[in-house]
Amino acid sequence: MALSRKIAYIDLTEGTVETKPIPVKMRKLFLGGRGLDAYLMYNHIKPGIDALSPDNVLFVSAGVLVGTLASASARTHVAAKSPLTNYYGSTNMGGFFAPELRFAGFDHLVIKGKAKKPSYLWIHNGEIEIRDASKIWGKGVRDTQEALREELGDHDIKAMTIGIGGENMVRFANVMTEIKNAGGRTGMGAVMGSKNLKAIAVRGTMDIKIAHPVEALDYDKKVISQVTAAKVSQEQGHLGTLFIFGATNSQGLVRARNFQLNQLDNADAVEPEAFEEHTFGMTGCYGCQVHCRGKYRIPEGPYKGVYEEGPEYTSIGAFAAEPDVRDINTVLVGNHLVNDYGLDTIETGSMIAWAMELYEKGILTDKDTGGLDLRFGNKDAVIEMIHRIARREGLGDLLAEGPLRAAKKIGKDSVKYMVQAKGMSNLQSDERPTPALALGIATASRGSDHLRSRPAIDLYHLPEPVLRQIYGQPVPYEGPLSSDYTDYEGKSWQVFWQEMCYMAVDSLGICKYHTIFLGPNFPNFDEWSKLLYYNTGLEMTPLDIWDAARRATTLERMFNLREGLTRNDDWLVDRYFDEPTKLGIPKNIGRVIDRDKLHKMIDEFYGYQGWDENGIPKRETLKKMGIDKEPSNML
Amino acid sequence: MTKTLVIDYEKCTGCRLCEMVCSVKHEGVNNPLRTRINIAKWETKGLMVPMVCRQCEDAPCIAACPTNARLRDEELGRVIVNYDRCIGCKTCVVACPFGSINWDPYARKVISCDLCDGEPMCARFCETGAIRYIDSSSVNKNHLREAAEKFLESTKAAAEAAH
Amino acid sequence: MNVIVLGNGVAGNTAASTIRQLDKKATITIISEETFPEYTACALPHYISGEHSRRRLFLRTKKDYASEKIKTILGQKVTAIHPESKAIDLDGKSLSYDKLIIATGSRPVVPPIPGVNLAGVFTLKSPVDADRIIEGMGKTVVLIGSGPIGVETAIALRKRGLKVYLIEFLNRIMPKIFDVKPSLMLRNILEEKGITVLTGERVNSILGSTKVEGIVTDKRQIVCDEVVMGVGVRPNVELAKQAGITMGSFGGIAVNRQMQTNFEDIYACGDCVQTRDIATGKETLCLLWHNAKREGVIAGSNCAGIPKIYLGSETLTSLDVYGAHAASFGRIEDDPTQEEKVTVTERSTGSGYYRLIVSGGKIVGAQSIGDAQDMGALLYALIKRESLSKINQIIENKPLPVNPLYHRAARHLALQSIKE
Repeated sequence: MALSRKIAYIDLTEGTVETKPIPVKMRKLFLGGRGLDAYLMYNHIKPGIDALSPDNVLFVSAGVLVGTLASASARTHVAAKSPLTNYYGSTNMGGFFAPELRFAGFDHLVIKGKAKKPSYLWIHNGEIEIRDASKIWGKGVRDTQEALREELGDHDIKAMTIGIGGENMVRFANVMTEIKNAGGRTGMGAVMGSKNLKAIAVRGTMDIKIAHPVEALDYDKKVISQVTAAKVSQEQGHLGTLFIFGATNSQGLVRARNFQLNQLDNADAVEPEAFEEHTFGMTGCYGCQVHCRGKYRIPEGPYKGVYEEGPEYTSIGAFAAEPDVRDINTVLVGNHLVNDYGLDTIETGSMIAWAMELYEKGILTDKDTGGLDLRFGNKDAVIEMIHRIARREGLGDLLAEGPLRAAKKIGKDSVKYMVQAKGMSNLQSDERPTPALALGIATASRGSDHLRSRPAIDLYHLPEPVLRQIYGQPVPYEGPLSSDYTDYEGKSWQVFWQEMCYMAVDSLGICKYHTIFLGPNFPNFDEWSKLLYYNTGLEMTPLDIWDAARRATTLERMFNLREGLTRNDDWLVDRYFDEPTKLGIPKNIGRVIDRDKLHKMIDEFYGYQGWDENGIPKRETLKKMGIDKEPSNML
Repeated sequence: MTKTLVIDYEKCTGCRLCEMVCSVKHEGVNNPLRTRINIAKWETKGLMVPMVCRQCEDAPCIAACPTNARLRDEELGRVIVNYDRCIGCKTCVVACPFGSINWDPYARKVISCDLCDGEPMCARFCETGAIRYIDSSSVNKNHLREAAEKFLESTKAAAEAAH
Repeated sequence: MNVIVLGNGVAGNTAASTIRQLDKKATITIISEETFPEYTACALPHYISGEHSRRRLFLRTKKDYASEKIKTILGQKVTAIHPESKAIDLDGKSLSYDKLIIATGSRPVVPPIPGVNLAGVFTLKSPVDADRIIEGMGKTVVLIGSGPIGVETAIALRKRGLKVYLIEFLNRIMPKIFDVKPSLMLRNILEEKGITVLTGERVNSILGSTKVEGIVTDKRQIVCDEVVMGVGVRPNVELAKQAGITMGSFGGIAVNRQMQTNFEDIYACGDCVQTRDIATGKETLCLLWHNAKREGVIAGSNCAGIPKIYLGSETLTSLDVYGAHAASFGRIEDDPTQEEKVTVTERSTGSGYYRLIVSGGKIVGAQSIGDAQDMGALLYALIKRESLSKINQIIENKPLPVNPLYHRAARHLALQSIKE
């Protein structure tokens, strides 16, 4: 039965493993993946601990639809207290790790303590072993996986691993699997490094039973066709997410030169079409027919000929737009380095660009950079800084501490040049012209983020009836909706709705590109209700799924509040309000976010969530959701 | 006219949806050991190749079977197994040059592609065109046209260079 | 056209069916000394173990022969072949033919050990042998010879609950198809299941007055109720020899690549025939089911006027040892008949054990236990005499043409980093 997977509690200090079944009741409340992890986070992590200490707990999970016939059922969720933000740390990655974890009999891993020496987990058909990783400690992401396959003698083993970045506890080190599947944000790789946990290797050959196979096959085909018929899927399937850069840069929605400009001009060399020349095919994640990543070989330089996948549009931001570089090889190589070192591409690019602005303004000098010319546009410096951050050398050691800690150390109001929320950097989008997207950045639970509540379709100027169709179910909404992305009206509902949508997606373990993210005609709550029933037999109405999302979102909020979050943290840096945009299409020039209007949006947003004006969940909200007695320690 | 399952590995993205639907259709479960089609991957080279029974006309597996349990079904142009005869010796597994016969350890039987009795699931779900179920007479049409185009281009280029 | 087929085994039957598929009008008659329809000896151990019914041994019924319009004369002995007059002598009568296919098969070798004629001493070739072995089961059985048949029969009788001894003269079980290490892995499985394996031991005599009571080896004495001998087979060629048909150096009928003997209208196929090894090209007796079947197709095809060539025999063995699939093809490392030097690479993976024998940059043999999925590809690399460096090169650059054989084989080779 697809629901018969277990939860495993692994204590690395004691060296013990305990497994338990997951009650169906918990599935109905939280589904799985990120949803159930929210419950587990709140129940297992004590408040106020040091995220890089053995007290932190790492959660790894496969969503409830992973390995079934739901479209692109491939995603892994990883969570812990974030060493970057000190708040809720959470990241999501695709590839083939989650299905393998399920084949091996597990849906959730709860990893506590710290191993005495470098270790890895070996999970195979219901069994979990803690093994010695001294031979693979120090290896890059790619070599680690090959070495594990050699050692364990099976080339179909999948592994989630950290690179040198995670070993060095760079606060934004990520977790990786295969070539480029990254659980990038909030520094989960550093948490693994702090536990002396190099990798989690999995291989499984147990049945995942499909509840209604014939119906599931037919319905899955319908859902897949719905997704791949959309124009945006075809573009992604051909160019990857790079097309997003193309679409947004021309409008003036991309942050360049740290955050000084909102467009990278003369960007032909790094437009999506430039990457096409180097791509020799597309690949993707388990079960997915969109296949949104390119396969390429690095064309020149010391890494010439190395096979790599991607890059994502965020890497154009990180290694072209933000450092003001227009060299495609820098993006191609930068992508490879962060993949093999195990670093968050967004954070890495953002920190380097920030350092460049500090250097431009004389806050950082040659003495700090060890003689490296850190001016904007120096492509070699970009590559060199990636190395130094991963290895924590010189200035890299400082930048490895992440935005707020690094800014504190440097002092001299360096923090005002940082583009972050809650201590995590923003990606390369410039939200000054787009209030809805700005609200998402300010309020996302894990920090400045585009994947937790971004209503990307806001950019499409969809007619109001279409918007109403999307945003009016499964719960009714009578308020205003606007087709203009520069408006404030009705956007708070859109952001709230999208947050529930993505929470559901992350709990189901499917991919956001198969939902209302980049296109308006995609599956959402109705389809998921059917997919759940046909594949797992679990009966949940669209409203049940919505409620599960609401519940988990509020639990994430409670976790953050317990760690000291206040309304002041749901905010944006001053540049958003004080420095108008200079470039882009006419309607995007001269734009800033209005403080008062943002406050009003946040008030409305909290209201929809059932939270008070300080963003604290109201008593009756908690009671209605059945989480007024947390922590309840049921799992 | 029979149809043929044609594999174009250059179009394969390695998503393994074909494995999933094959296993679910035949066994009602998703299990990588119980699928008749397998994607052979070389991860560090970005190479993915779907491996499936070629329904050979002169099949080595039929020759190897010591109980004559494997035979050709000319109606669909496929190789099938008579499980009443099969003794599970797995000689066919060894004899197949493509490694396309699997041993299902749960059902305890050899499994290989049976073209889903005429409506192959993998071809139905594969949207990249890496797996297609097409008329046997058109199997090499695409290759022919591609080769012809290349030929045209190079003769044109040679002609221009000559001037 | 009037065709007579001598022998009711897989070679003869396949030849007959092949002719029928190509020629609807020909008269085809299969003649055999045995009284039962076509059966497969390969399934005998499954019958002995009780896992399969006796009925499943037979591959044809009278109805099948009738629907193919193949006549059968069973239970009668052919006493002579007359190539000049194109006739055979059968039970006093003379039957003429246009084409003759000799598929008289092979018989088990019975070593000249004292006591070998006692009741309770068996070889295993036909359903009747199996019936007798089952009937004569007591408490203990001794198997002499540890080739695949011996091993499978040992397993079958052990599954019946008997105490089983498997005795092998050479230093390891299945010495011609597995090297020391894999052979030991299989031996361990057998011993775990309670089979007593004795190697490097010779059986000197069988004890008893009318019935088997025990055996004596050069090391010990064993009490037993039954002895099954599996020390090899020998081609049945007496009839052919008498008729003046040319023999090969190993004692099998000599044939060309169309499976023709020195007489144009007489073909031969199956265990009675000597062939060339497909990989080495050397003359050999490779008396295995799949070779017999293939030879039957070739003989039948040429007989019916459609020219076909036999490419050679494949030494290929596959057997199930308590769930572990053991397979081997080509030559092994420890082969005293071979002089050429080889390099060996072995690999244990999560799903099994592989052992590659390489010589002059090409695969010349392989053994596997557990996972045999890639053996087919490696076998064909052997047959096509592909060099390893070419395979490595293909996989480095980009596989062209599209031949999954390369990918499968190359995967394991590349992983083992055999560099040329």
